[in-house]
Amino acid sequence: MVQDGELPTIAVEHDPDQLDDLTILRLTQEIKDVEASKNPLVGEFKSISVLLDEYKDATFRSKIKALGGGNAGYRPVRGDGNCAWRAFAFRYFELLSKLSKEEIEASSKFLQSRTGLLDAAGYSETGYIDFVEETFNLFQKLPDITPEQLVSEFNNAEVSSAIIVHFRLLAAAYIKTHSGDYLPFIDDGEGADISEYCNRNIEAFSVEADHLALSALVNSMTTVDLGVVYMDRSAGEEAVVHNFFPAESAAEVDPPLLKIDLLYRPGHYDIFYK
Amino acid sequence: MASAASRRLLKEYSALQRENNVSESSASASLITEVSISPVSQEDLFYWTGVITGIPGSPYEGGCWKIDIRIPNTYPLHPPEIKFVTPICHPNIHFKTGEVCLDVLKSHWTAAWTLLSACIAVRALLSDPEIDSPLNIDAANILRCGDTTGYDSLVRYFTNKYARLDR
Repeated sequence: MVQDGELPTIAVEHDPDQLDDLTILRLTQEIKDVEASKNPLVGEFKSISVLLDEYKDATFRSKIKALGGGNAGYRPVRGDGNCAWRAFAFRYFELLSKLSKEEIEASSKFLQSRTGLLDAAGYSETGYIDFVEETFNLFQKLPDITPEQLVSEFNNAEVSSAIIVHFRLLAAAYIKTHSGDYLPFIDDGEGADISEYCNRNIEAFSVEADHLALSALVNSMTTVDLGVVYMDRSAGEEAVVHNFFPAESAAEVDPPLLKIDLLYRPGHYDIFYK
Repeated sequence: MASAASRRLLKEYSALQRENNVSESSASASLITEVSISPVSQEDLFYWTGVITGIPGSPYEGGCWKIDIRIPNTYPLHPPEIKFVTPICHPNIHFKTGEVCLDVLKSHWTAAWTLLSACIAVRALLSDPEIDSPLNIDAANILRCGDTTGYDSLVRYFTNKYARLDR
């Protein structure tokens, strides 16, 4: 822990004039890791009043109040660059865990069929299979899982990291196989490279999800509607909600459509419960 | 974490062996001759070694560099560390330590990549230097001045000096 007015020890080992890019990169990552490790990967449910206590700013307070009282709440997720992905994945499995065995089975089968996207996008099976398997291992446990067990599964870094990679690859694969839909948003005027965009912004572990990434994730899953509540200082009494609906929806009711809500505060996503 | 890493490395190793067998029988050894890698010992899959050849038509043509691949316990979530053992003249490769500065091997690593695809990316870097993040400042400066003739002959000199196949 760092006391006020005291420099972190890693800063004094290095002469600031002698730092090369690699060292800066490594030190930045170390600082992020230390900060991140103070929180669990997925925390416990908290009432919305806990969030209200964190803020003095009138804009935030009125927006938080407008989110609703009663059962509304949120679940904090570690801010390690994977928060949107981890929050989405946890909520996905949490919602599934409350469904019947048949519905879970149908959802699992459907998601399995989406693995074809990865092949279509040119990923090698050696590269993705371990991550995909981890997702379906968790599916197997779902019918009997308790809420506590699910939280503990997601706090096992090996399990939740693998699921995050699986979901990241699905989203990237969707963009790569629907490049015409995404190219206009990626093009910076100097010509765009879809594969490079996916590599830098979606596939790379610990890189924050942007708007495009979330849209691609929802499109790749096709069984999830995603709502993101933007809790920022923009004008207004109520937080703006951005909705992401899949471009093509899965066949009728089977598998069931899930509704996931995330709470966004600049630079970070948590899970939101209405 | 280490168990996931071992599992994955074992898969990559068997996939490479299968490819090697195929290419030996059909003589269509395209990638294998450009980049070839294998574990130093079958007892330890976390330490590999390999050979990268220069792309024909580039000043690295005819060169052949030995590389060292160390794999962290958190692989494939985190990238392998690839170093050149044979000295090479390149703006993004340290001449003495062999360290490689390539974003996809650092902050933009993708877990779906394999050791082979990482090495292929390193080979591609040879003809596509990034002069804004140099580890070999002298080589980068020559390129920055736009002196490609000078750069090419410098690269060719070091390739001939250290990395000739027929040496």
